[in-house]
Amino acid sequence: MSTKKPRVAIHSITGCAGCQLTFYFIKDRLLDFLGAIDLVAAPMIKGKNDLDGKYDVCFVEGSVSSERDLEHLKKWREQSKILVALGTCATHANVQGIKNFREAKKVQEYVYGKEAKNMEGELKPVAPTPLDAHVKIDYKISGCPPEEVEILRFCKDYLMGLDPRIYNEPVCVECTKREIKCLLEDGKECMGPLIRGGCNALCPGVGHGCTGCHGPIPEGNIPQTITLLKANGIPLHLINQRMQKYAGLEFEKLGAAIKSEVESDE
Amino acid sequence: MGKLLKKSAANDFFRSLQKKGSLYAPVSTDMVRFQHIKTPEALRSIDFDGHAFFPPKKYLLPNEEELFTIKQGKLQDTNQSLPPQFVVNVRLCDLNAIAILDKLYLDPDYPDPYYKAKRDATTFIGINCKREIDEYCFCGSMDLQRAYDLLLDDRGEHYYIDVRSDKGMALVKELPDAPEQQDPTLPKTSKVLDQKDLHQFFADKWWEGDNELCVSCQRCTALCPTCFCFDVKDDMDLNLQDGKRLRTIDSCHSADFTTVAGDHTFRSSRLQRYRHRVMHKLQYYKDTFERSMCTGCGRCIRYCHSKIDFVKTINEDFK
Ligand code: SF4
Ligand code: SF4
Repeated sequence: MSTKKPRVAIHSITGCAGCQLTFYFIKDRLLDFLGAIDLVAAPMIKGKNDLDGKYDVCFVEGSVSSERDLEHLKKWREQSKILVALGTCATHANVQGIKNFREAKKVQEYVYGKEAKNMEGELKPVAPTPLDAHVKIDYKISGCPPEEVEILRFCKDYLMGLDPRIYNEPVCVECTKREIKCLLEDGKECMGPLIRGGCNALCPGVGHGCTGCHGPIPEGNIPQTITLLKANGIPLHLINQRMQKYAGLEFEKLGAAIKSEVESDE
Repeated sequence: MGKLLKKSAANDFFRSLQKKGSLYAPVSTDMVRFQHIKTPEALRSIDFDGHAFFPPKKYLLPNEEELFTIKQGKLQDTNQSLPPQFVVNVRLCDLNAIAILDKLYLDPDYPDPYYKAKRDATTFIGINCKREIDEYCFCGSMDLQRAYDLLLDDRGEHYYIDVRSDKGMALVKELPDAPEQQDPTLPKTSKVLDQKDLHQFFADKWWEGDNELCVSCQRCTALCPTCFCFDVKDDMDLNLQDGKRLRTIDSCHSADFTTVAGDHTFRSSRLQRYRHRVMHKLQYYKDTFERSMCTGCGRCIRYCHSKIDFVKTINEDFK
């Protein structure tokens, strides 16, 4: 690696900004981190930002939910050597993505009332999608919000000149290592087998089933996990809601076969 | 050689171990777990009946262990001598599992120094099962050996302590000798794995049924007392001058585990990975070391989300 500090940007499109906030919450390490890089653009915390220059690494949080989001994203892609999708909105469209399973007009009416006019121009809504639906993404760090340790590990790997490794195992792995009593085995609800860990089984560790905030693992066995959840008395429409919330379109793709079953259950 | 330990004095014996080093034993709460028994008072919580969820391999192959540290860019000396530790009330399946791990990690040509340091510091003291713990145990068919230093065998008022090594004898020499040597009977189980040459059943079709039920959660490998695969990673500080190299337990059920440099994946489907685990446990290891790598502890079936039972599949379907 050259001795010149990498030019890093942290940008945001539609989301709650919680992912960025997690970045700034790497508390005791934040100053070390800022010392190791050149943070050239981070509009949430900086007054002066380089919005048009080249970036070595650009973190983007949020999902593409408007025409303007898409324009920004394309521009950042052009500017950046490495583009990182930060958080489950960026990797899976997350909560915004729920809209994809509803009638757009109804959603709009529900939020803005029947009288509201359609938004036009750059704020015109588009179906919320993850970043990789539009541009090439080099790394994905999911999580709602992502874990401090995962962000930090990514940065350290990058600074060392390594190809950063993203943890890719289901929640069950960390649960088992922590010797937590399995909630599924206990007849409860837990999305663990389908969801990417990295959280060190935070929720199961305090007796709460995983709701799926890290989004799905790449090859989850959806039909069998649904069988397991149903055996615990969890209704299909609830399982469906969980998956729509964090796994969004990927669930749609993977779970097409069960969709009709879900609808009849609702 | 046998020694006698009054049941009512079992805690005194364990107390004597506490004075020599750290004591670890099963404790039953919502599950049975091996735990550090720190105080004399805590001796009361030791469990004599249950089968621990996580096997005692964790005292030799922790989930995460530091191999070495680097300070200011320089390698630090790693202290390889550890204080003694005693792990008690270990079941015969898990004692045999330690013997299997020893074979791999203490190989005379390639001993693993990190494992060896822990192994040298650790004494495992067994307890005999008088009955099968539940319907998942099948150790009775897995050719278990009396592979231990000491084993407690319930004889009513007393435990008969079967002594198999000098290391064991040193811990019990104060106790009275048993009037006669009586080898503990090895546990019998109603569940039995039929021994078959699994090479004949490699084709996908034999594995498809179980594979459909597998969710790749890796509970089976994490909990298997003989699964030993690991990953190595560096954890540097942001100054890139200080840091450590870590070894963490890993699993053949993970797609990332079978992916190597250049992004080549040896076993790209879940079926291949599932099959590999069972084949390695029951066949590949045996091809080299003459015994199966499985000790019949039953954990991979008992704690599988889908209760996938390879014993049943092999017995009933592989023909
Ligand atoms: S415990 Fe069962 S479901 Fe989980 S990886 Fe093992 S075989 Fe598959
Ligand atoms: S393969 Fe299963 S039954 Fe055999 S030792 Fe491992 S966990 Fe126990």
